[in-house]
Formats: sequence, structure tokens, C-alpha cells
Amino acid sequence: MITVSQLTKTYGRKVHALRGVDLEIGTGMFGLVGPNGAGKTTLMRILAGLLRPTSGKVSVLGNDVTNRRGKLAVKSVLGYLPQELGLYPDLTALEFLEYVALLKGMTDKAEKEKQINETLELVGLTGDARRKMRTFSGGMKRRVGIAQALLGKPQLLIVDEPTSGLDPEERVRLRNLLAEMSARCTVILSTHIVEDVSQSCNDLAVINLGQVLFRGSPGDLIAQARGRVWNLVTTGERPGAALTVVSTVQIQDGVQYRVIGTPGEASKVVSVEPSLEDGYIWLMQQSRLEQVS
Amino acid sequence: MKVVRRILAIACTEFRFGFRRGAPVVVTALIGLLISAGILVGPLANLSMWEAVSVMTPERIQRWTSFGFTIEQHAPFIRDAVGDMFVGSTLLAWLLILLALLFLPIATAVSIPADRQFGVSELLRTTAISGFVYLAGKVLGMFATVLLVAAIMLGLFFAVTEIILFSILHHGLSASASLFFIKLSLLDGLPILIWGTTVGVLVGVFFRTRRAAIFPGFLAGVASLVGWVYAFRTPSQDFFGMTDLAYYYLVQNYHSFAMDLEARLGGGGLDYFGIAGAPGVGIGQLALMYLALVAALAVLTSLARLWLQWKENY
Repeated sequence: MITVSQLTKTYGRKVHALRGVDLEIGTGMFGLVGPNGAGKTTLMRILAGLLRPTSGKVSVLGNDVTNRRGKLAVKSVLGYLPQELGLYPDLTALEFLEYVALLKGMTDKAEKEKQINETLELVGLTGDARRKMRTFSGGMKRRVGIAQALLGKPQLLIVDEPTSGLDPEERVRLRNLLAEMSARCTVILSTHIVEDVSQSCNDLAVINLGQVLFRGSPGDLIAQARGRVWNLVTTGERPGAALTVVSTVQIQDGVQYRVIGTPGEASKVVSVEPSLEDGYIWLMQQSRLEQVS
Repeated sequence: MKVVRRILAIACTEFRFGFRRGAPVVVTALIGLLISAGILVGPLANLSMWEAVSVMTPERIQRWTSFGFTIEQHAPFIRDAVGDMFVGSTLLAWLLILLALLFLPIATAVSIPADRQFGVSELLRTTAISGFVYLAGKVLGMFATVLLVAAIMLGLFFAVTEIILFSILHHGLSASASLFFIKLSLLDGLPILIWGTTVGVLVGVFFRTRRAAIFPGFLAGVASLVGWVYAFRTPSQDFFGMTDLAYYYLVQNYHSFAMDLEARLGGGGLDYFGIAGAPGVGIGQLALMYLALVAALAVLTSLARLWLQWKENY
């Protein structure tokens, strides 16, 4: 169980990355969604004990990550994939994983080798394990990052933008892998790609400008947008500024827009069932309107 | 136990990098080559003279016995005299090892910034390693690289010297000369390498890129060199007095059969290394020198640890 209470993080005096965040995260797979710069990475890094919060309380698996002892306790059961992953170009994938395994405190040689081989197999890098990582593509490097996060059978797995740089097939494979992992440990998936969350999380939070805008299930977020998503066909003119265009398709009679908001009565509109992405966009739209007002 | 294993894991990886990236290897090898060349110049230049002197002619036997020496004393005399020359050359060349204080920090200052530049630093911090473990691993790994290269260079040099002496004079270095060389390597060379390597790694803690760390590494090298020569200055003011207490202590306590004979021939004390009249240095002063080094490194390590805690929440 992870409990975050009144958490703030300020960089310098002007940049407020987190503003009084309250959050409870249980077991299973939790999605943290928000636009770039929302504060997701800052929150992830605080949970992982990499950053000190400015104020507030953070308890991860019963440990207070703001003190040294708690931080080390969390790190000893943590698997973490940072947003900006770096690897040693002069090492092979196998050497790197052996290194991380030792740093994670895996001292049993046979167990270490077994886990390394298993994770390499899971991320599909067995055949490339002895190649230097300088020769790896972006996707392969990402997979090495995922493999190192899985080492040591973590109780908490934090993955920050894990699908960036992966091709569609790899993304699906990773989502399935994370879903499988969530049966054994708490997985926190931070992303700005709503599809990643919709396919794998049963619990999520939406964060923007350092504040939690929504906390609940994907179904709850979808419900918020129900009755507000429309298909609108025009002869070419774009919908009014009050509507957010989600998609644009050229059809025989003109242009079909999928929009979120309240369309005018004169428009040729059809109400449609919202998706999780629609719910997210509706929420963001409301957030912007509140800021303006 | 886990702490030790983690330190060793970081050290092993750093050791691997030392050879794959090469900077500490190249710097240490260059310094080793300079020292070796410096030591060999003297004895090799005079080898033909020693070869001529070692051959006994009736005239030389007559002269030798006129001083009251027996013929049996001649062979050890020649061996020790060549050894003395080797020691003299070693002393001059050993001044070059102080260059390690200047250049090693430049080569080793890139170690920690490299982790940041490659973006691995954040990943390492998600494991349960403390700042001390990280620093200890980095220093140990870098030092292992430097030590191995230095040992290979000095070992090679020693072997070459022995082979040359055997092939021309049919004997190797005297025991006293060999012992002097080994003691000098351990009592003076080792602390210099430890300091140069450690200071470089610790300076790197404060910089984000390898390029940014190079100039501060150079400044740390200059400060180390000046500080070392000043803090551990010897009582003698002559040329050899430019080095340090360990070096002086060994010179002061160096004895050979040839030196004794020459002293007796000269009818008094022989100031072979130019330290006559200067006050002596005891083992206590030597111990103080090492204590001061350990204390200074402990302070620098603590500062680096505090910086890591403050800036990177280690």
C-alpha cells in the first residue's frame, strides 16, 4: 500500500511540480496519466526515494521514504524504469544485468543467473545478451531497462513512460508483461499515452499541473464523458472553439469530427459512446476552463 | 556482506571501464614508462664502463689488494656499486611519479560524471546503495585499474633491467637495490597513486559531464602536487629534498657494501645522496604523513558524500 498525503515539491521558488497531492495506491496495476510536465515523473521519483519532497508525507509499503532508513527499505524491494533511461554503451546487456543484480543485493549466483536469463527471455533479448549496448536500437535499450527493473522480484514496480520508443508489437507485449507482474506486485505505470492505461489498469489517477484531477477506475473516467462525445459531420468548416476535436476523418459527404463538449443545436451531430481517451480529454478541458475562470 | 559485495560490484564494473575507456590506463602507463626510462638511462649509459671494471686484470688485482681488500670482495663490490647507481637513477626518475599527482586526477575525475552523462546515475540510485558504497566502489575500481597498470609497468621494467644486467655483467641487481626499489614503490608510489586516483574520483562528484570535470581534475592535480611537496617536505634542501618524507626516509636508511667500502677508502662518511648534515626522519614522522593522508581523504570523502546526499538524495 502506498499513501501520499499533502505532498508538494517545488523546484527553486517558482516551479511547483506537485501541489498538495493526496493519493492512495493499493495492489495491482495503477495508472498515472497526465500531459507532459504534469508532475508524474516528480511523483514517481519521490515514491522511488530519488527525490526529497518539499513537504507532505509519503509511505511506501509501510516505509517513510523521507528518511534514510525508509528510503533504503523501499529501494531494496523496488524495480524502477526511469523516463530517461541511460545504459553503459561499453557493457553487454548481460554484463549490465549482472551489475544491477549485484547492486540489488542478489548474492546467490545460481538464482542471479536464473533470473537474468528469465528476464532476458521475457523481454526477448536472449540472442542479443552478449552484444555491447552501443549497438542496440532505442527499443532494445528500453527492453534492457525493463529487464533490469524486473530483476530481484520487486514488490513495487514503477515504470515511467515505459512504452516510449517501442513499436506497436513491443508495446502490446510490454503491457501484457506488466499486467502479469501486477498479479505478484504493485505496478505503477506513469504515461501520457491513455491507451496504455486503458488496456492494462483497473485503477488510475489523472494529474495535471501538480494536482490530482481524477482518482478512480477507467470506467468512472469514461462515465464522466458520457453524453459529451459526438460525431459531427460538416462540409469542411471546423467545429467551434467550445468543442475539442478528438479525431478528424474525411468522408464522402464532407468531414466527420469526433468532438467533446456541447455542440450547437443546428449541427448535424450524433452522440457516441466515449472511450477512456475521451474521458481524459473531457477532464483536461474542464481543468483548463476552471483555470480560466 | 551485501555492502561489500555491492562495493565490489561497482569496483569490478569500473575496473572493466578503466580498460574499455582507457584514460587511467594510458596515463598510468605513460608515467610508468617515464619512470622506467629515467631509471634505466644512468645504468645503461655506464654499462660498458662497469663491464670493463668487472673484468679483473693483474694491474687491477694489485691495486685492489694494495688497499687491503681481498679478491673475494671484488664481485659483491661491483654488484653493489651497480646497484647504487640504479638506486641513484631511481631517485632521480622517481621524481616523475609526482606527475601521477598531476595527471591521475584528470584521468579519474570523469568516472562519476560518466554515470550522469550516460544517464545511468538515476538507475543506480534506485538500488539500495548508499553514497559511501557508490564512492567506495568507484574509487576501488579506478584504483585497481591504476594499480594493475603500474604493477605491470614496474614489473616489466624490473625484468628488463635484470635481463640486461645478466646478459652483460652476468649478475642481477643487488639485494639492497632491489629491496630499495620495492620499498620505494610501496611506501611512496602506492600512497601517491591512491591519493591521485581518489582525489580525481571525488572531484568528479561535483560535475555533471566528463568534459566539465577535466579542468577541475587538473586543478586538483596541481593542488595535490603543490600540497604534497609542501606538506611532506624533507629536512634536506638539496635536489632530492624536493620530494617527500617517505622518499627521504628510505634514502637515509639505504646501505650497501659498495658504499661502506667507498667510505672506508675515502677515510670518512660518504654523502652518496647529498643528505649529509640534514636532520633525520623517523618512522614516527612517516606514520604521521600517512595519517595526514588518510585524514585528508576521509574529509574529502565526507564532503563528497554530503554533496551526493544533498544533490542526489543518496
